Amino acid sequence: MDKIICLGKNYAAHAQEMKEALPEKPVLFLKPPSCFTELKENVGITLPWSRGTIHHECEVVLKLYKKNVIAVSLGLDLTLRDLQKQLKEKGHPWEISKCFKHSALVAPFVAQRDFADWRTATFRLKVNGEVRQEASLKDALFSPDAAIHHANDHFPMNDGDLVFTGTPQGVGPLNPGDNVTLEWGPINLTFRLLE
Amino acid sequence: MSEQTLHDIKNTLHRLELMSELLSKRDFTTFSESEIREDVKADLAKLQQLFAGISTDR
Repeated sequence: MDKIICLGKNYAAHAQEMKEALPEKPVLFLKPPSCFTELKENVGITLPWSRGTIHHECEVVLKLYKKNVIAVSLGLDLTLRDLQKQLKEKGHPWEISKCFKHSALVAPFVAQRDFADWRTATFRLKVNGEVRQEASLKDALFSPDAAIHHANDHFPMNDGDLVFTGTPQGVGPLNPGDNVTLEWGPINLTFRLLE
Repeated sequence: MSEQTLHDIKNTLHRLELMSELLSKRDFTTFSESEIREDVKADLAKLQQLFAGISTDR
């Protein structure tokens, strides 16, 4: 993959919980492929806990070929929230709060033919069995097609690029020892966070 | 070999990987099988061309 394209503030309720205005156009940022980790059932993941609070942002992830979606998955766009807040307050770029090892965790991709209603199905993130985030792509401000179109206006798009489509409300902290579950259509995967 | 050639080879190999995934899963939701097989043919030709252009002279 060449890059991971991420949408910010693509769900109204999430923008509100972050006390930010709704965007008129999709808000885009990038993560390098080195942030990407494909999740496996019950795998243990270690995060940079010493760098401050790490928030989960559960998102639908699209895999592109010729600027079209060819596979979908559910993932976590992890964020060093304290650091991001500090950087935003100073008006600095906040890449370092978004780009670290395992900051783009993604369940194995599913072919579209195996998940026909992915545009409307509800996705869910559970932490230690408790539902933290729940939404559907139909609740998003910008559709996948609009987001891809907008990204194409600004970035050179390559086959295999991934698109994180934004997170709904309910973002919150993760901790060592947490069991994290991603649920969406045929995807049902739990992994563990290690010290 | 130039950095650009290396980049082009990597991209072409990655495209072939994506197409092999679509073919093996028989997922023709977005692209038809014949479209994908045409792309494979074009990319294999492109790879041959890229490799032919690598000079082994010292």
